[in-house]
Amino acid sequence: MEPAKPLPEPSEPAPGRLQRFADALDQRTGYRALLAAAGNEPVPGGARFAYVFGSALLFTFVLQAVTGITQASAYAPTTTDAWGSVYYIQNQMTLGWLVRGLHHWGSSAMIVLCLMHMTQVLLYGAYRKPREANWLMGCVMLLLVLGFGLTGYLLPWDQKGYWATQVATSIMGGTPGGEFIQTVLQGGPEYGNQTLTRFYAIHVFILPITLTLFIVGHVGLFRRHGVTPHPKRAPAELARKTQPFWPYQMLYDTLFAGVVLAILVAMAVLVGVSLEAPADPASGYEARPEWYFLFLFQLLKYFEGPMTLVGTVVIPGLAVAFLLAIPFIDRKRDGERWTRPPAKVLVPFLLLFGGAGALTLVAMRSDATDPAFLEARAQADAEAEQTARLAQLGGIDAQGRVVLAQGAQLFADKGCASCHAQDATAEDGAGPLLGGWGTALRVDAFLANPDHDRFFGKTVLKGGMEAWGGSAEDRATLARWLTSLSGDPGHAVPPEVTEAARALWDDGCTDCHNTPGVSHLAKAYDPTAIGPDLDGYMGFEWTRGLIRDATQHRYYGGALEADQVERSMPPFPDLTDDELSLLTRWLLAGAPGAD
Amino acid sequence: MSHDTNTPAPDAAELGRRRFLGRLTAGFGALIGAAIAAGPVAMLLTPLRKKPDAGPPIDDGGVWSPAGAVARFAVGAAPERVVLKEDRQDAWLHQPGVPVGSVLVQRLGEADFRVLSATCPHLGCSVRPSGGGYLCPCHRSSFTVEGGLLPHADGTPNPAPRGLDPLEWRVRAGTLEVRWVRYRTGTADRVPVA
Repeated sequence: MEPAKPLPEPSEPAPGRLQRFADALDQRTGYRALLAAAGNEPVPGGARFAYVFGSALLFTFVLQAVTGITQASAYAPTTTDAWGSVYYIQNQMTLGWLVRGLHHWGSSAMIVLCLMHMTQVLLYGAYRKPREANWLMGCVMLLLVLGFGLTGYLLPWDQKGYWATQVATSIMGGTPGGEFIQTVLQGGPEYGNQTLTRFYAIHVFILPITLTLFIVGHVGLFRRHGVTPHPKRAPAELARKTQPFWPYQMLYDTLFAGVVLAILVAMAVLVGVSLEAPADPASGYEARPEWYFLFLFQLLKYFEGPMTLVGTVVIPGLAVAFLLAIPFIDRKRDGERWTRPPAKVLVPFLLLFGGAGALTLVAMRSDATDPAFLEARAQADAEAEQTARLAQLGGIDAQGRVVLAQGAQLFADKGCASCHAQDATAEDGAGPLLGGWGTALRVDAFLANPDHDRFFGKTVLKGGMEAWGGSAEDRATLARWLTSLSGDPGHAVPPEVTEAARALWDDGCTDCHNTPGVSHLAKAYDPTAIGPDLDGYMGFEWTRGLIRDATQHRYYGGALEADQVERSMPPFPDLTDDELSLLTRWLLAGAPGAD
Repeated sequence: MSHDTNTPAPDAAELGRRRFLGRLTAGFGALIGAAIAAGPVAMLLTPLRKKPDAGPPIDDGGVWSPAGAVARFAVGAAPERVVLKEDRQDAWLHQPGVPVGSVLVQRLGEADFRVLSATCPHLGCSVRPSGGGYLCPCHRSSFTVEGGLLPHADGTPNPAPRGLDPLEWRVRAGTLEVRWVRYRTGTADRVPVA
């Protein structure tokens, strides 16, 4: 029972509304006693910056929870939607890039702070009796934090996360009995929807709940045993300089939390966080784990065959076992006084951290000096940027595909680039370049100089189309109207443009071309016209048909024999309808990335 | 606290110092809290923005959804329920031909239609033709065939706050097209949901 609050002295001003509310609340909850108990925790020897790392970890964990829950409100853990939803967070939602950036860099911060916290605790000898249990809990918590990093990396379902996590689960599968764990963790023999939902559940429920319970226990034990004082100070001096946790240590903790947050914001703003192209199981990719797993990655390079287990299980297992064993290796305590850890703890600890650090540096260095890796890295970066641009331009379809990226990929995969590129390699010479396909600008440039190397210059059609002889203004009008023949509402022109263009058209184009819109059955239609039929010119069906089978009469029928066309632009009967549509949509978006 | 006895009893100057440092800490902590909250709050409020969606803008033609060939509707026939489909940008996904709502179509003349939203203005259930008018199966809102409020014959209250919402239509190339608009439910005024 709380004793009733004494009434205020008559000389004091009457308590305000807020004060009365706080009093009433305290009578009902006793919150002041709770706060006092929390804040009065004595810090022997006074507040120190050395003690901030634990609370900084707690702070970072809260930051991760806040940014993580926010992202969970927009993220969808399925193979078709994961990338799209992360793209949406990163590029479309207000400050989404900041939230994701803080979460990404926050994970690195937690690792760094764990190591700093662990080192501080070790150097103060705070693992010793009676604090062994808390040291053991801390070691488990470090592993939990690493688990967060591992499971979170996969969630964007981009190339980087997909391939790096493949390596991690494959390692798991290579250990004795690990295949079972791997299959259960992945939700099947291969990565799929179940992999994402499981990793997601682990990342946002299992690990956070477990870590929270550990934090409660860890802080509870810390409060039970109290702050471990600086090992060099005498007990009398410690007692004399003791300060309460609030506000002294809390001020240091808060200041340090501010520094951590400032660094994280700076990293999110200045470096950012990448979202690579969507995971493609068929592609090759130079997978690298996040920096804090690089030492394990490097360690694998030194073992082969059955010895691989030494790198994947034995050495990491021994390292963890050593960390867990520290309180039992060094049990000595010098009376009332805390001392530095002895060499039998300090030396292996430094070797362990030094070794991991050295392996990390070696891994980074070998990547930084490997031209093949650097090239693959640069290519992946370019692809990441390109994919984001194409997603912005052409959207993501219901199968989760970045529509225009698919077209660009087909352009590369189906050999289109061997003719339609600046550095065409095909024997029969180059085809036209396709940049700006379907735009009035391209048609205008074509009319101005059809024999330019971009167009017919390197093809059998060179000399087949007369350049526009009139004014540039008329040419632009004609180009706009011709582009509008596609029927795409985005290329629609007002009636006066159509009228002006038709007059220009009738003035010279009709010698070779049938007039668009004239029925094929009409008397005016000339089936032997030399020029292509421009009905639906540069439209979806027109372009689609051109890729499928350019020998159709409407394209070059009167100008070239079918076998001539076949040698230059062969039909592509093996393209599926879906592939053809993707290619066409990409072309009609101006063939981004083609030239 | 087992160590409490170690803490020297604070004097007045020390208490003042603590109060000042406490306020400084609290103030600084509040700043940090605000800095953390800024990103998440902004992100969660994204839907309030006018155009938060990814992907290509859907051209104006997309707002008109085809409701079927004109010839499908006989002049003077009973109203028919038609599902409208639209190309939708749903957050990150571009989805073609997604059902967006259903309408009640009645052909009044050669080139004259009555198109009403089938969404009940009461609480958003889907109304259906019934006995020469329309009835909402959820709370028995009832409407005349013109879409006006129809008082119940038994005198029980009609919960709909307004009549059915008429929608814009046009005939293009032999097809009836409808511009789908969703209106706020439960209000007497017709307010489009942005």
